[in-house]
Amino acid sequence: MKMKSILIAFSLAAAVQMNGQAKEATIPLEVTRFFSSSLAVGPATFRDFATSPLFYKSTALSANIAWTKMKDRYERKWSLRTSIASAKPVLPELEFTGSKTSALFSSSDIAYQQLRPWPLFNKGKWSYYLGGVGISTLNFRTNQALGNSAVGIEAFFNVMAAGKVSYDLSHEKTGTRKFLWIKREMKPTTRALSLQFNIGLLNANYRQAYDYKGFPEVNGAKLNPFNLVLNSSAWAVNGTRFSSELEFRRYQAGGNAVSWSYVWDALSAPGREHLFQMSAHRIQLTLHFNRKK
Amino acid sequence: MNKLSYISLALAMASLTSCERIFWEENLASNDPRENFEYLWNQVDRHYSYFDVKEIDWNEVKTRYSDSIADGMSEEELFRVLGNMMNELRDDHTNLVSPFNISMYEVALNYQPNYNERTIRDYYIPEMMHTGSLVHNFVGGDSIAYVRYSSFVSPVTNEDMDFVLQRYSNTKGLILDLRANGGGNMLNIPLIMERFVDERVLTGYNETRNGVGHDDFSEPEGFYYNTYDGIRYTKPVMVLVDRGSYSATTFFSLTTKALDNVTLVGDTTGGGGGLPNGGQLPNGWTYRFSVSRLLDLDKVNYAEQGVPPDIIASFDWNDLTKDEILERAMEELR
Repeated sequence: MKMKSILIAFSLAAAVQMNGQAKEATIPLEVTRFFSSSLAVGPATFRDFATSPLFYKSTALSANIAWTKMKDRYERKWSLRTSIASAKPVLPELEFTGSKTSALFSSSDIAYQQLRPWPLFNKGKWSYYLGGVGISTLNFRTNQALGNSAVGIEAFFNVMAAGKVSYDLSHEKTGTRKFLWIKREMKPTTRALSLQFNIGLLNANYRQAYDYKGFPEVNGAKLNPFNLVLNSSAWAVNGTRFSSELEFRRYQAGGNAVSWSYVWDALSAPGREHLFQMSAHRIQLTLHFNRKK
Repeated sequence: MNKLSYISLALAMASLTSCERIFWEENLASNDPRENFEYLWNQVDRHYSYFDVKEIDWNEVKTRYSDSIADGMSEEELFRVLGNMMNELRDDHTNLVSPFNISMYEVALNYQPNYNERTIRDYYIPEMMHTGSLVHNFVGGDSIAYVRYSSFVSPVTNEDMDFVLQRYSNTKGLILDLRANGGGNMLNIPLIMERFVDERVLTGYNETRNGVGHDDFSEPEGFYYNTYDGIRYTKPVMVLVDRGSYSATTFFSLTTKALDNVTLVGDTTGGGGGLPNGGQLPNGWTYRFSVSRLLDLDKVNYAEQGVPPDIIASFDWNDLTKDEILERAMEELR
């Protein structure tokens, strides 16, 4: 109920922003700083072969904040995201199903990205960007049905190449547009549709090694519970990570913006012994606040 | 190309780039009896820690049980076969858990029990005090303290320990009754033991399976007790144990061998020195089994078969008015 109220309030704020245009807005070309705040919802899946060959699926709620600096379309962005979900295993057809085990799954990441315009291919309303993303993700999972393997903590570190294409959907003149029988008054607006795709170049992970020991266990009376888990973890440089974001952004007269986006993030980390995979699909609403100097 | 076409193209590209199935393996969920049998056998083969100590030929076990797997067998039949295969490990840290049953070995049923609560309540301590999970009072006058801790699952707090040890600070000795204590949370062990030591002390080792070979193990890690900075009890302590003293209690018992002021009295403990890992089968059932081994100070691996007492005593069920193990401990302390 609380989450529902937050989503409704967030949508209302977005609607007010979208309708509150008093004068023509523009895509900022000067130095512009945005603080962005997002809420997202969508299916998330993970599978940890150290404890189970089954996919665990859920609907995850995410919150994201970001700081972006744009100058002549040159973009630098820091972002923090956290999500939480209650995941259920995907079981085969059984005679006796009983109650499904469920896993609490939380994932957080911190990311930094730099994109530079690629003017060679820019044509008309199309803009192209190239750059890189550094992202670090920390998962915390619990699944009481797995006994002493109930707690899973893993971290992923990825350096990714990034490519982005953007199409300027702005229109500058006032007019009327008719779609079927619906007539619409068109005001000058500044909008853009963009698609960004990231691919992991250097992928490292820190996760469970051969054994899998959780909180109730102890080695040498080390009473720090994080030690108990991390003692059986190991570094590995392997795996893959891909992510993409399709975003529709609409700028406001005051320089703020609202965007809707579809975000996809998927990774696969073999680690030392056991493969770990996860993916998330998110529909994300973001408010971008122009931080004027 | 109009704007709608551009948007459609972008959506198509987004959907193309969002298909993790391209690099993920297939869904391995399965109710096929043989797939589940193979999966479980392989997990045990790759991770179980006591094949050599128990002289188990795991390949022979596979051959024997494989014949019982048939297409179309019911889930109950499959459970029976897999549960029996797990019980070949003769290890109470081994369970198979389905929605309709849990397999267990129950090592204590192979031996005589040595604890009868009614004997203690009716003939030694009619009125007990309950401080958290510790049940206690004086026994045989006011020179000996009796403390019963029935399960390591129950939390022990520093406040509980402070009260109990303060109350019995003037006694000659303390009896800690861990008979029929089936174990629980290992973190409770040092919370008790650090009250009995004067200095940081190495008490044993733990090693964990870390490779596909049945004898592939990590370097042994020392298990230490630190000294509690507060109320301690360093007079003689008699710890009562029997075959029902399993898992964390076996761990506790092994470490008493490194402490001069702590003596084990009763029967050999039930074992369970390995720390179990949990996992899940392709059909969703869960399991657990030991993946590590407990070693004594000489790095000898015997605890899985039980830790022998320093003083042997057994309960005579023909005379329920007397607890011979408790009597023996009291005799030591007088």
